Amino acid sequence: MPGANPVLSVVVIGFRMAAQLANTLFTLGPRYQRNVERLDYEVVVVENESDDCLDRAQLDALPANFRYFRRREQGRSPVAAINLGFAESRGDYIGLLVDGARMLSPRVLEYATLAWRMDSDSITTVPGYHIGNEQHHAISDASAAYAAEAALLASIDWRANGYLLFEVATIGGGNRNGYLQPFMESNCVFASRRHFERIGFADARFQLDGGGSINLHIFRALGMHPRTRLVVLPGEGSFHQYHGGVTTRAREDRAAELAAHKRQLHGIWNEGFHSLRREPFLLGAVTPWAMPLLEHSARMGQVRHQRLRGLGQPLWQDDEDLAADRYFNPTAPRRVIEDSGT
Amino acid sequence: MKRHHDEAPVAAPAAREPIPFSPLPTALCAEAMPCIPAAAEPLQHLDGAPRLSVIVIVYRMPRQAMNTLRSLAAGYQRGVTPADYEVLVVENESAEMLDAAAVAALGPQFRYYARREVEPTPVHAINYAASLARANMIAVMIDGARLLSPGVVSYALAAQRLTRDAIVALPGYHLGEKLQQEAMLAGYDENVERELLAKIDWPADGYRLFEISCLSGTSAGGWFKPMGESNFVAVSRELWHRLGGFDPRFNETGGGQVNLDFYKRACELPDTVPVVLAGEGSFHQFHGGITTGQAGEIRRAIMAAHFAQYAGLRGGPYKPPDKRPIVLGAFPDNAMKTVELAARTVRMARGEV
Repeated sequence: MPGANPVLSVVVIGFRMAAQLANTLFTLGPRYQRNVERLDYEVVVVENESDDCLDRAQLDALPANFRYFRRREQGRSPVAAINLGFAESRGDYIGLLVDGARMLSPRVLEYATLAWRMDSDSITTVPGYHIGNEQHHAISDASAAYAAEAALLASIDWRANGYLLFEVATIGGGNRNGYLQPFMESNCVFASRRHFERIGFADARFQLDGGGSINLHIFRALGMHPRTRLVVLPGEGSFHQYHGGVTTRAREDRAAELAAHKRQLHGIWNEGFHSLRREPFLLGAVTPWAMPLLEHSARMGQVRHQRLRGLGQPLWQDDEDLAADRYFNPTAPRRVIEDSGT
Repeated sequence: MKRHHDEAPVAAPAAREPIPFSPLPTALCAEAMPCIPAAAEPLQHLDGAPRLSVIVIVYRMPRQAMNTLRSLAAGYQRGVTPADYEVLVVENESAEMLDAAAVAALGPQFRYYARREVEPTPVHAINYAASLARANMIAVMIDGARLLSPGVVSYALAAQRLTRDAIVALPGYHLGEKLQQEAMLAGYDENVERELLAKIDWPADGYRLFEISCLSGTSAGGWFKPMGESNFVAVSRELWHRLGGFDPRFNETGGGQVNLDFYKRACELPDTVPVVLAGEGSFHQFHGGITTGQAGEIRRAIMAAHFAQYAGLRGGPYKPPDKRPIVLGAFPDNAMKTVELAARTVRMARGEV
């Protein structure tokens, strides 16, 4: 049971994906996450009503440190649900999973908390994968995809050893060149409450289907502050389950939908939106399962560096623009975070 | 003969009878994962003291040692100030000594001690320096010929926040394309090395050291395989005392395998966590050291004595600790090729590629 003031709150949003959400919630529980026996954390689950919500048995199975909220949503965006999750959360440190279909590997909470202990201005994320051997938006037969994924998950004892998820997953398309590159999006991000406050939590303008690019916006907004430090957990992962998401399922109007997302994002970021171009700080053990992505990331990192060097451009433009220090000086005076919005 | 310590190769040279008690290779880390419980305590600092004491041992290598000390100066080390750390330079007497004034000029955090030594080992100098250290974390650089990359001090301070039981270690490199004990046979010497350093305009950007170096024997395969030792190894003061410092019985030339022994003993305590600063490194300069600057039969005889002493004291040949480390820090672009190699090496050892 969490105390009255847990250190860490993980906010998870779900909509019409009961089976996938139940899996994700299992990966956040104390039976699955390792070395969290002494970590006072809570999981705040917010589910928008649909014809496929968590049922009574699934709710009863939630561990004692989980709190569940079901709400009716008139629109098509999870933004209000996210902000309800923030409002209900009590920790000074918050993890956000906008997409409840993302299972986590077993040391995400341990290492994310370490990152926060090391630097309370850290913004921590994990590399993204898709379950199965193809990108989910390329799948045309939904019912076959559900069955195939269920079979894949049943073929490994992921509840006992979550690292086995790496064996049935593909590198996600969101950061297809790996994590030693600018980061476009994070579907699992941790930051101090004060940083979420600074960016105004989830921006209510993101009312497109599925919230549009709200997760890209939140991630970049958190990262664009000179005090924040981007931390990547190279040995961990978040694993997307197929669930007919707005941008992760095949649909005829996917291109038009993505274009609308992009238009909105670029409209909100005056200078135009781009991936977060800050040098990642790595933390955590790298399991053998995660080694292929590290190798891929290093290879693609070299390609990028050669290209940019040839162009005479900096590798980490946002670090330069923010005059950010990639080093760690615990004795440097801490500046108060300015309420400068994004 | 110079009695300076440096690392031993993991395996004996090919096509030769192995040297008795050669270190045993350890291909992969243990399956068990490192554990830093949420309730682990960060290292507490002592009032009015620096946060890290770095011990640098020097013997008959003034030019190389001055370079090493330059790589420890604030400015080269990034993100830190002289108040954050101290550097204890202990030099055993020889005909070629450092210029104490030049060391002092590097900054107020540098303290220099010259001492007389009757045994051919740096162990007593190390333990003496530790008795003078003011910080709650003690780092040992047993070989004063090792240049550092610019994030080492900063990231060692970051590691203190994770747990007081961290053992901070660095991958080791040799300047030049090949291990220096091999390269010297093809003409590698101090002049070649000077040119190499000039080529990268050292010390303007210390990360460029990656461009002119190769992984050393005990770090071969990169840092995702068990490392044999670290030429910058930092532990808490409490852990230092629990281990009894460096074992003074290692009185072979250069301390024999004492540096490996200390790292292994620290890693094998149940509650300690190795933290590898994977994007940083220590870079060995050529200086005619005991195991990196001797050729042929002389080197072989020295190694045999080192291995035999280790086996005599510990009951068998050295085997690197296989505890899986936590990786900490950024990867500079210059190190990216080595990162790729390190990851690939593990995959090959597992038969995946």
